[in-house]
Amino acid sequence: MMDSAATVETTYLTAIREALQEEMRADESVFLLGEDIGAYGGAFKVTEGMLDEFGPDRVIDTPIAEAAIVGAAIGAAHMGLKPVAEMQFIDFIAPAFDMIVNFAAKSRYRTGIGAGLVIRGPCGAGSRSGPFHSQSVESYFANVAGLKMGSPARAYDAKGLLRAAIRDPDPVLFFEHKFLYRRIKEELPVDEEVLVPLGVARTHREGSDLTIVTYGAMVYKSADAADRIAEEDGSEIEIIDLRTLRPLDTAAIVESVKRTGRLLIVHEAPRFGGFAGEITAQVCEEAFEWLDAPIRRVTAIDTPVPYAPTLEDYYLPGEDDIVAAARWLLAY
Amino acid sequence: MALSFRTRGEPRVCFTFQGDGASRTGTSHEGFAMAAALNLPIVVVLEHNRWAFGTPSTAVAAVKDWADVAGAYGVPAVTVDGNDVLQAYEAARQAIARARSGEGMTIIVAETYRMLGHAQHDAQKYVPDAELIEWKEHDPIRSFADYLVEFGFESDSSLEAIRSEVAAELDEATEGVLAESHPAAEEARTRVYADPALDADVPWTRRPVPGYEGLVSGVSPRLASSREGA
Repeated sequence: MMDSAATVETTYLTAIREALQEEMRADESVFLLGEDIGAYGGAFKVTEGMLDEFGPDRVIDTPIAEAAIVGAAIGAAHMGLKPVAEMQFIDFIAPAFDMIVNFAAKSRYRTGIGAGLVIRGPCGAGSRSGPFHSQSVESYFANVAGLKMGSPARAYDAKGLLRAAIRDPDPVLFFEHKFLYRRIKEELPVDEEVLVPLGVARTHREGSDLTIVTYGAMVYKSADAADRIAEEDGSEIEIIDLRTLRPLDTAAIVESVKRTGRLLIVHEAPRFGGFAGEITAQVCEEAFEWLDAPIRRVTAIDTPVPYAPTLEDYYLPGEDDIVAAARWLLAY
Repeated sequence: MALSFRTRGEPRVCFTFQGDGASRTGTSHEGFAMAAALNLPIVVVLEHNRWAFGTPSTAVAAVKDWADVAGAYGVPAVTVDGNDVLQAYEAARQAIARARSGEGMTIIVAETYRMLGHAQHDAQKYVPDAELIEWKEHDPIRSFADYLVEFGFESDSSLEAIRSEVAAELDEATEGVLAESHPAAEEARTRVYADPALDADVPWTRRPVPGYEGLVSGVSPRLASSREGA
């Protein structure tokens, strides 16, 4: 009955679970460790049912001890296992900073022995969760050579990138936007392998008048803004979904900017020291002569993530901000 | 805080409370190791409440007797029935006296149980009913109330008066808070630094451009100025 084009509706969250399950079924060296991931199934239920399938040696409940979780994962990776460590909220990665920055990231450079591990967890704001459960942490790690970073927007990419991250010989930080976990549903193929290489951006929407470079949940706000501009102004915006933040697909950004001549970078992380600054510099270095307007950024404001709904809404970049910025650039 | 007490020579004592879950963190271990090394006036109450979010502490800690953890820091520990008000009071009194006399940190292990979920969203369906029922029998507030009545410190009616007074106070506070409006959106930019001059900027997309038609109209400064010059 099932034809080769069979698909099944899959949430962003289920896509992540499937990536973990499929990699663990295919490779006995893949295992999970983290807080409440076993019997409880994880704070967001990403690993629900996995203890039953894979047992306590491969789905390991740990104490509340992020430095030890990552430290253990690094050692296991050195020994040839493929650990996937969960940070219950990505904000909790802070206690593991030393292990990630000084050991996982520098291990290959110092010793020739890589640390092929994945550290994954829910990031992002918009769910009224306050300053310790809403952060976007990619900028904290942007300056650390040796790390890779994924930040998928679609269920397809969440699944495909996570599988690639698990197979990758170097440490990958994998940022899952918690606002997308259950809101994003896509038809994913049943029979064909979903695998997305790290370091390759995708075009979310084609256009010739302005390039928006973005990632994570901001892909959707950017797409809504682009649709509005198309309808109300008749301009067509191209949206590049980075998918991977490091390695950064500069070539894809530059290629698009050379066609549109205008660049807007949208991210949820605060502005100062954010990825938009790095992307701006790279485009200025490689495509300055093709620019018809200054490069502009739409980001969160430079504060912690506030708790009150009115404040969090103000903090986050919104569709209106993207529309206003796009119009400014298009009119320039 | 305890360091500041010592630095200023104040006879004060710092209390810190944590569950068995939090006691596993590196930050906690480092803090206790340092507090003990510096002989700071601290009383640690380690609430052995048996659950860390959705996982029982037996699954993620090898410790059997939680007083044993004190040995790693070189400080004494005392275990009390954490649901017995008078036992907890007496242990605290002695630990405070120790800290004030310059003998340093004490850990009080309070044997107890987490009666509600990890947070508002958590109905803690994973907690065995039998354990909740057993510990409910051992409610510290009810037990202490019974004690107060039995030994004539309070009567049923005086306790009821206290209960109503407290309930009224809580109701009033709750209603007051619920009646408050949310803060104005732009307050999000404030209080990051002491100096208000360092408040976060208003996003450029929400600012009018002085002298021009503004952002939302889609007019850039360059276009506008070229129009002016035309």
